[in-house]
Amino acid sequence: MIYEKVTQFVLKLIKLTKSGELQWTSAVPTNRTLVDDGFIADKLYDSTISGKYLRVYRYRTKDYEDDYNFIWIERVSLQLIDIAGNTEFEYKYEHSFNDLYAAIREQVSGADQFIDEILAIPID
Amino acid sequence: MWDTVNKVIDFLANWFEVIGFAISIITAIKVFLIDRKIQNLSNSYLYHQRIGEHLKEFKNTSSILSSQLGNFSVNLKQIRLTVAQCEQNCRNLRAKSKRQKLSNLSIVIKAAVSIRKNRLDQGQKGGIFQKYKSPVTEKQIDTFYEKLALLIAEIEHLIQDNKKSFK
Repeated sequence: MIYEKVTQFVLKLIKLTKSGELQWTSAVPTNRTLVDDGFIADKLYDSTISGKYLRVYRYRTKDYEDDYNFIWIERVSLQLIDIAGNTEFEYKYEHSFNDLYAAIREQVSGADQFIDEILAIPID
Repeated sequence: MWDTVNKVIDFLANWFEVIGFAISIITAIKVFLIDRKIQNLSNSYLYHQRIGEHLKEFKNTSSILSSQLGNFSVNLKQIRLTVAQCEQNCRNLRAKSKRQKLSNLSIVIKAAVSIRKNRLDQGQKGGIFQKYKSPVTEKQIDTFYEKLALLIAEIEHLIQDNKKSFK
């Protein structure tokens, strides 16, 4: 798959998320374990667009420098899933997934609206 | 007898002088070459040490841009500022990376320059040449974001490779 096309797709998702046209829901994963001792570091975020189910989550995995030494790295996964939540396709990681993840968390947490609400409270 | 001995010693001394001179010339050339190699190695090491900081800045720019692109028309001024800062970061990196070519670096700089040279919007008043410039479009910023993503991926790949080669 062309790298730039995936970035365009992710940027489109970011814009749709920012404008509120794409709504995401969060869920706590029932099983956090991934292959190669990796694990899901936070919540799962799901959405539907054009009849497809999308899932985004942050995970930690081992990055091997050689056969024995490794460091823990944090990545974001973007997947197409079926209705039961099974992975159908996982897009190859690129940095823009982190930007999408930040936009999703901002939307789901309602952090921006919360600031507006607090700022609107009059101080006597 | 002594004459012959003196002649032989003179002959040998002359030859040793020539050989000694040749050796010192060869050594000087070798030292010069080795010194250059050490300098290149040291530059390359420093470059790989510092590229991580540039990568952090590029990632930061990417997240700021993605956030600002949520509302393009309102954030256009800030977007241009973000792009200009990123261009500066790219130029700093290019100055350090004379030997190691990053193919996407020039592409990002080119995209940044085209955004910097364009007008903010159609209605903006400016000098006589200002009206001949096209306004900055959302598509241009989208393209810049995509090119930046490619550059980030290229640097990440380079760092990964270097980790292995410096071991």
